[in-house]
Amino acid sequence: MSLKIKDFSVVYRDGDHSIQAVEEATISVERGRCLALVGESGSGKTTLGKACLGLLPGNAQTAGRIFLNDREIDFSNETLLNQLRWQRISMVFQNGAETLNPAYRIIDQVAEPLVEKGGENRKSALKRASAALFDMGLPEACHRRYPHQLSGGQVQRGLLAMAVILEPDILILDEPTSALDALNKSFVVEIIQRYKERGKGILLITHDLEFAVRHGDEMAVLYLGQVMETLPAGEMLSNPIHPYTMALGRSYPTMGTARDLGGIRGDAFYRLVHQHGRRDEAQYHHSHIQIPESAHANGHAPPTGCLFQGRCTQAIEACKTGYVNFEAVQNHQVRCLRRGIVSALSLKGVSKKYGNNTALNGTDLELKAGELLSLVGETGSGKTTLAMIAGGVMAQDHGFRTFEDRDMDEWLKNDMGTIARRIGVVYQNPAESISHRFTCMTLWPNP
Amino acid sequence: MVKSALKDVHLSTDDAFLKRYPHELNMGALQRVCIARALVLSPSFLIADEPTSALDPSVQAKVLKMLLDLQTERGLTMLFVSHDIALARKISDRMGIMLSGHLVELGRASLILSKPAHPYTKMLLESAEGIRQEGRKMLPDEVASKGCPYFPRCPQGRDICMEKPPTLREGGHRWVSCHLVSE
Repeated sequence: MSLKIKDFSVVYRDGDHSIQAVEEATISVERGRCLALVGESGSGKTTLGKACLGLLPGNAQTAGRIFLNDREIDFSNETLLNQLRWQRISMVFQNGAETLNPAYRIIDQVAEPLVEKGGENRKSALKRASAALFDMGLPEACHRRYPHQLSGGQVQRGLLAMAVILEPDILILDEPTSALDALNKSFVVEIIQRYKERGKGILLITHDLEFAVRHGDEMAVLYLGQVMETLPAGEMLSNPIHPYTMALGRSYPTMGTARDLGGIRGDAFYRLVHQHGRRDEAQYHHSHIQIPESAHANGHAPPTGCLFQGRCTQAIEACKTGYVNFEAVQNHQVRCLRRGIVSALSLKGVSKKYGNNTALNGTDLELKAGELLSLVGETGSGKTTLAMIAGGVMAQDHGFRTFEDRDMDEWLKNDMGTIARRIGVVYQNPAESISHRFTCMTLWPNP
Repeated sequence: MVKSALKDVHLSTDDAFLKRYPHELNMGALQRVCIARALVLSPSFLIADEPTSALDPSVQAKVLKMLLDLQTERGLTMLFVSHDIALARKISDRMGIMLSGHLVELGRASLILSKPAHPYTKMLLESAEGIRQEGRKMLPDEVASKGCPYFPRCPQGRDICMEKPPTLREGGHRWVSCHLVSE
């Protein structure tokens, strides 16, 4: 039981402006797996989820194909779609309370799909609905209440009960945990586990990265409608390859750590597409990214280059114009011209001796661009030696080092000036590391 | 350029200050001058060896905040040397624990801090939290010549630790060099 989305695009039309919500997204939910779809608000997560059910609003224009159990879904056939919704694919919507009918009791709403689609009689349907709600931790006293008489978490759990009551093949969860506290999250976890064990598929849409990493199997990172990276969910924080994935991971607060939050520079809300020329003439489109300061921040340029380049810290000229492929890097799929985060420094088997004293013993170390690595240890453990070798201040006895993918020793020998400009060093003892003959002002021309 | 670099590290930019010599500055100001000096050419890679050990906590916080802002804005890569694990945990993406010239543990900072694998890392964390190392053999700092460098002090040391040096192996999203970590 699988769900495959292939080269899927969605444009919301609005006069001669339109919003590019999803562009050529390719993701798949495999049998017994949970795919976590993450990204900032406005990246098109919910649009993709709704598209699978054919629930996009009338002004949405789509391209691409969606396959359920390897058979393409025909979105023009409303009868077929109706059979598919809720029985084969169901969805828990984001704005929980609004999707329930305020005039019906919760138990009636949970029972409705059983009567309408499952063809059960009302009495047994109510009985099953009651059991399903009970399963979700809603005591019987709640079952006969109206939505407004329930708490946000109870509503969310009611919706979950409703979504799984017909045991569909694919379950789409849109922000299922945003209204739930840690304890209530366990109901969602239980459903995810149960579905995986039964060989069904789950599309988990969330901005809760910790939840996605823990309960997802695969992960797709969406940015302004494009899939930037797909990867095993467990590697999201430990081995991100796209710069956006790393920046997103760094923005998320996690329990039990530590590091102060880092964000992503700049902003991006959504993508507007303008259309020029009359309908019968050749039309051309151009798009730009909506940001708070100005609507035309990146001009009326045709939609080329990488969408993230304006906020990316490692963007080069080519990123502005080149077409960016979605290609395999290691075991991930990445949409990045530079094939992911570049390497800043790499040390291989570096060792150093002072006389008979071994200060550093065949050490390997890899640093990606934009990363902060701290070396911790007691005095005399070789921290400074390693740092000075990394900075090109000191030479190693054995081993190999590269800086920005170039042989560092070669670079130091041939072109000391450029490499020295790229590496800044703060030495341990400030009083000894600067000449006493310079004033504060004259120190700078002489580093 | 100089003035903006000085402003970045919260130092005065008036003329009297610019004309001062290093011996006329206090240690904290001097340390900040050194940091500003390393950053003035906008490097892509910064190596900082105990950059804040001479600063008082309030300035230390400001300087670290500035470095982290640079990381977000310019993608500055940093290698940070510190003996203070409490400080390192506040800023690091990844962390490497060193002992006698060996990297003994390397991985994502949050993982290492929440679930340290190497006994030496555990010891460092416990001492940072003020837990007394009771019942531990506090042998002299001699480094085992052929076995594991931490063996003389390791509370869990076995025979194999004395005979064979462990190698750095990958497991559970991190690298650890210890015979007792089987994963």
